[in-house]
Amino acid sequence: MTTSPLPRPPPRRRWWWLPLLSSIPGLVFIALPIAALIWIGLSDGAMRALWRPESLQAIRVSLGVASAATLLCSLLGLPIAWWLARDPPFGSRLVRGLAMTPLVMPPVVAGTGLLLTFGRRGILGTSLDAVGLPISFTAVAAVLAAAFVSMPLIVLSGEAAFRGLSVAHDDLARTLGASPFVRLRHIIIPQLRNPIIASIALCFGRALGEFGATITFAGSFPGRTRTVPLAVYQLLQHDQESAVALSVSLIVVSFLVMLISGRVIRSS
Amino acid sequence: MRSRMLRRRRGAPLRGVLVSLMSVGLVTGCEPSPTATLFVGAASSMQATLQTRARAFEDQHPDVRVEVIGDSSSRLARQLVDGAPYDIFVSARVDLSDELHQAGITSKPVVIAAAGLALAYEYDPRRPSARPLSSIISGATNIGIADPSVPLGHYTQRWLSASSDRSQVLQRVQSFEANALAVERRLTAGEVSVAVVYTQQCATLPRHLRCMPIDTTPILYTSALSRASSHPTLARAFLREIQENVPNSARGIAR
Repeated sequence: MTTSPLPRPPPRRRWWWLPLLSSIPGLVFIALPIAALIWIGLSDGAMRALWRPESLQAIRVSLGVASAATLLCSLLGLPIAWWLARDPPFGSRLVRGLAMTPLVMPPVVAGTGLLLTFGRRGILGTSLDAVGLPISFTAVAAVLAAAFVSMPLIVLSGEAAFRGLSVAHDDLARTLGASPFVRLRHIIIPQLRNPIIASIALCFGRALGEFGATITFAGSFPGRTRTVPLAVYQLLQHDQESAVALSVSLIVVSFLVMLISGRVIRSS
Repeated sequence: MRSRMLRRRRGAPLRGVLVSLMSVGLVTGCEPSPTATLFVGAASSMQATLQTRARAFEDQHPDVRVEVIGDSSSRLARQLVDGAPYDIFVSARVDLSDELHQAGITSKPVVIAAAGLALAYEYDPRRPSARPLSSIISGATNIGIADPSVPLGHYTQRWLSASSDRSQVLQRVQSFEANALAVERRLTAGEVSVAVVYTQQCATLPRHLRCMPIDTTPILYTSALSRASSHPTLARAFLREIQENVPNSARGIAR
């Protein structure tokens, strides 16, 4: 009988600190501007500025616009994601490229495109204006602008979610006689829920931060289209303290949204 | 299984936050405004003056809110052509307001104030207060001017084309700003030491900044009523308020 040698211990991770060390400059680069904003934004004067009616109004408009844009993106973007996930025999590259274009398009260009489509003199805007449905420079325009730039995120992450669906479970349930409703309720929705929530959170976060397309297509009308980023831009010209306070509020919400999407992705 | 359930339970409060944020947004975003709001699109150099008039008007009409939106007159004019819901347009260029009137977008413009161009600079107590223009320019590390596509930039270029200091100024220009207020902000933030502004703006600059008139050719501000105004009666009343009071309160003061 021969004795087998003891299993070798796993090699020591000798360079474990190298990735950490090399990531520090990047983290500092991201953290410093945020820290500067928070440092100034948490001063007494800035916190008082946050409770001014104009600031609260901008937060209200921002939440409204971002929520409506997220709903619109979900309605329009998820079917595209679903279709792309099924590997269609034709056109998928073209459709994916088209759906992703707003992600790399400068937002001001996106706003100009929307203006040329839905503006008073735009391709569709002329007819809409004629029937008393003006779009540009209204709250609807702000929603459309935010939805246009956020849509790629929901398509991108939605496609990944649909691709992650386990067809085997569904097939098994079908062979056991489960009805389509039961399969949807107990197999498909539980699998899709978390990834879809994560993509909705990402879309909401992007919509909250939208600036360029909104100012071009919807203008900066307090109470209607002046979202937090637009209010920050306007305030920077004469009241930096309020601008910073509002920026901090946006950072907090954005951070929360990122936290949600990260947590939901991990738990799925 | 148990850990999956735990993870799911841990994620629930965060999902709740997202749902709450979106619900609050949808509910409050759809709330109608309780008061009539007048939108005044104004040349950014007139924003502060008009805001004072707006507060006075609101005191007389408690159920009315006046929002003064300052930007370059050229951008505001473009937005009006594209259907922006301004009730009143205050422009720093007469030709722009005339074009809008001819296109049937606004009423006939009325001149409400006049200004000139001034060089605003940081006051240096070590130097004599009355310094020649060329000395201020040559002593500047960088100069802020407006983009030629906006009225202030247009007038600045007009002054520069006739000025012997043209090359000195252009060598020191750091950036071309989007409107008069943006130029002023660069100066007050200390990012430039000299800037070309309207004499109108000199009155509200901080104490450490001085102004020297450089071009006295009058720059006229006009105001007009938008034909698409949603509150024409109120807008007309505020227009009267502007036309009666702005010339008194907005005289350019060169310090």
